Amino acid sequence: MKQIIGRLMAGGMLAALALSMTLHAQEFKLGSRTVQVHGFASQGYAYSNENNFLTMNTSHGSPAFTEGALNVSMAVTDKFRVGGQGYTRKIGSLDDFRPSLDWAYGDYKFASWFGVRGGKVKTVLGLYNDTQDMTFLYTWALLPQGVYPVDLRTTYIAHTGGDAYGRVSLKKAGKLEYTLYAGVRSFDNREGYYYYSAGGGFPISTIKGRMIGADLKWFPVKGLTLGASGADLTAHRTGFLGKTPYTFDSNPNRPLAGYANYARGKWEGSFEYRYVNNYEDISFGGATPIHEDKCTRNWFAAASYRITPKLQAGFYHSSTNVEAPTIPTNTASNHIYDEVVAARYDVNSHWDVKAEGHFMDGYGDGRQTQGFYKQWNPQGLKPTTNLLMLRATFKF
Amino acid sequence: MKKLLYAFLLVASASIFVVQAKAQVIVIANNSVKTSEVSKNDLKDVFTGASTSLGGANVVPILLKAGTAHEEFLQAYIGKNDTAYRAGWRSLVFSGQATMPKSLDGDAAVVEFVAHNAGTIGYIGKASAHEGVKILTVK
Amino acid sequence: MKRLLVGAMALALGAIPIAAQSLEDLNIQIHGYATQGFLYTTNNNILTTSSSDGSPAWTEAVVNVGAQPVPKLRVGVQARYYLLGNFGNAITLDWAQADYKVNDKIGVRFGKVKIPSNLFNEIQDIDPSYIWALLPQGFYTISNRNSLLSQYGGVAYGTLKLDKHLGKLDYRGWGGEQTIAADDGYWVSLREAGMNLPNGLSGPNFGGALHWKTPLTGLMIGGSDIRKPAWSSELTYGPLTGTMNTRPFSQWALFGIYEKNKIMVAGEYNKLNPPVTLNFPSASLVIPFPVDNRSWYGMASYKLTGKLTAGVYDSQMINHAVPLSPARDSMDWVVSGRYDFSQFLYAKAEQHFINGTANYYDANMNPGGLKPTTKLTILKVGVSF
Repeated sequence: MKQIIGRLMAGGMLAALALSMTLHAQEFKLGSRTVQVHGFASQGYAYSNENNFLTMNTSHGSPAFTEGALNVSMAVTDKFRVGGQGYTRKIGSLDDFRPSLDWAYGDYKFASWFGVRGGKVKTVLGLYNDTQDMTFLYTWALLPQGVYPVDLRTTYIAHTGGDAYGRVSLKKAGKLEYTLYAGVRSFDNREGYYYYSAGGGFPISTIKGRMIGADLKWFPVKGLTLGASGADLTAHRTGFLGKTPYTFDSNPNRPLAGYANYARGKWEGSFEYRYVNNYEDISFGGATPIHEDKCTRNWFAAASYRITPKLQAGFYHSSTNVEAPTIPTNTASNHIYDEVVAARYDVNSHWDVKAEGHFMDGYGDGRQTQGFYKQWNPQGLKPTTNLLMLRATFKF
Repeated sequence: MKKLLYAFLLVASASIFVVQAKAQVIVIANNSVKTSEVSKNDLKDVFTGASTSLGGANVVPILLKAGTAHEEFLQAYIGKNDTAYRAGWRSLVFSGQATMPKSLDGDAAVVEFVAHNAGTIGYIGKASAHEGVKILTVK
Repeated sequence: MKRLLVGAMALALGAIPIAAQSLEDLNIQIHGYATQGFLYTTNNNILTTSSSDGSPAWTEAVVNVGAQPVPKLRVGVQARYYLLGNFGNAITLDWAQADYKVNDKIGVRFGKVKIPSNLFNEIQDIDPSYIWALLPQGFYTISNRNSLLSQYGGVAYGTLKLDKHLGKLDYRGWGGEQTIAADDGYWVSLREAGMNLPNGLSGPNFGGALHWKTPLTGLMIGGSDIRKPAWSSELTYGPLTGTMNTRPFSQWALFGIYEKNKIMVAGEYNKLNPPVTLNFPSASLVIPFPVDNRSWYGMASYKLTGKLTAGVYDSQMINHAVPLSPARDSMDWVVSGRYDFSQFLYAKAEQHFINGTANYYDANMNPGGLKPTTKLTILKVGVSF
């Protein structure tokens, strides 16, 4: 019932916004300052020929992919901005339309080369981490899941803490942008982390962690971005396996990324390589921990072309490789390769629709969330999955 | 007949402009450089690092950093664009076979440098002032 | 840790005002370049990387310092950090030399000098200077590069003007001592069989090369010949100690290149058959190490726009000492593109279609055995100043 109400609400929001007479970001005055309101709502449909994906009943076709956000921001002074974004979604069995705070922070910019932000701040990691929620920016209905898993969005998209950032001109060598950050991680108990743990028989009682990291972007010539990111994450998880208490501690968990993006004329190309150096110390009932290798190597290469002002087509190849799969002889469990063909049509400046085909080989290792959940695939997983994804988004 | 003559004059004047368009850059040298003329091949050898002498004496090439004269010189005498040209020099530098020639901002800087440094040879726009240096005829 | 430092250096190298630092008063120049590559293969893992999963384990950074204290004398040194899979991950000395050029006809350099053999040996390590992400591996094997690039000794060189209609003749002659290091790619199969050369293999190395710059502008035809007298070095195999011995041999090559405006066409043929034996006297064991490589390639590139160059090459290497099997040869069709964002920054994308396993592979990274064919995709970005 809740699902139906939630989806009706989202659909209603979509319709209401679509019928809005003034088709631009809403603004209003607060004293002498202008407050801007933006938002988006998105409805998707997924169909797969084999395995169910992302906790949706995709093998029978599933429209259980709805999300929406509303954000408000204001420049309090010339150097100080505040803003926040509320978010809701339902993806299969995840989140269930429970509203959450995506981000909310104050941002003080002392100079172009130095500023600080504090609050719940988006995390700059790789090409798209801090913009992964803005699907209207991309050709793709789904970003490469090995690098930007939609089922773990909350865990990676933001941290509660602070950033130092800035942009430095290098004159003829372009510009350099840096971000340093530290904070506490967020774990949503309706999201993938909890869901897959429960599916594996390890329901989570508590989980907390922190992150520190840095990102460096270089813009040497117009249209080109080269960058590198690194972060050090912790996660301390507790729960019960039956009646036996367990703890899982990341030791370490360090994603390292190198990336490039080039946009020129109608073309855009992107590449990212992300190595996740991830080990966990797992202890049951206080026994000596088992040190488990959960390292993965992930990368994608993407290209898109604007065929007409409204129509864009693209392709990406995404690769996830598990260094130490639980069953080494099960070759489908040590990787997920995803070849994607996508098209995006911009109906107008507010509406876009996307159609995307995924041709996946492998399903990854069951000890990590990689989109294929046991609860939704009780008969076991087939080695390949073809997935059709349709998505319509309204934004203002 | 008049039309034919008119057409001929038009073509002749156009070809003059074409010839003039090719010769918009001149090669200059310090007065210590003995020779007054240089072949296209020898000029290319000096400016690509294949040779360090002209007329039996050591010469050092001086480049422009960028600009119309630079582009025209490369097109007329080297046959490469700037990126490929500098990549060729870097091959020599990273092989230990040469040092990177000096690149200067603007014709005036090139004239100033060539005028005061023995053995140097450079190029500038034809219309630029070039007191204190000699012009080499490229044959 | 080294790679992080190199990565930071690479970004910093590219990010600081990109003009070669010129300490004019002392006539000192500093140049450098850095590259980062990514390898992906469809079947076998290549060059000791986990390329079948996609591997970024290919990083290089070079810095050189040169000075010209007097017009005819140049001195310089170049250091390199290099990582490719399990190779390298160390800082090495590329060359360090003094070069005195009397005139165009005669010059000499000595120190640790690059060996001017074949068409591209002297520039095989200078990624910014050519379109290819990988040169033909039958000739310029990247895993052997550090050992084959340079030697301690000297080079005499010069250009002779021939008769007016005969063009010019570049000559190079060299002599010195070359060392193939213990961790060189040559010895991968030996190491995997449990053998080691604790001191590498080294010995005298002489040779000569002639480049005829023909009267047809842009066309050069040449040849080189390397002569190696007998070499010997200590070899271990478990409890056994012996020697690796090579009898005198020569390695010759013929090559040609045509470059004009937007076009480059080149080809090379090379023969390498060193008579090598592994000797363990205490066990009365003499093991031949059969190598009889005949290699050739043909390549062409075309500058499509001011910034974009595309090219193809076909390269073949056949080891006649090996029985008929995929291990006897390595045939490589390559399509490549290079985009120059500016004079300092470029990117390369290259696709290889490799047939045969004579080159590129090692057993440790391919425990399931080698497939006879592999497709290799390379992406590379480079900064140079």
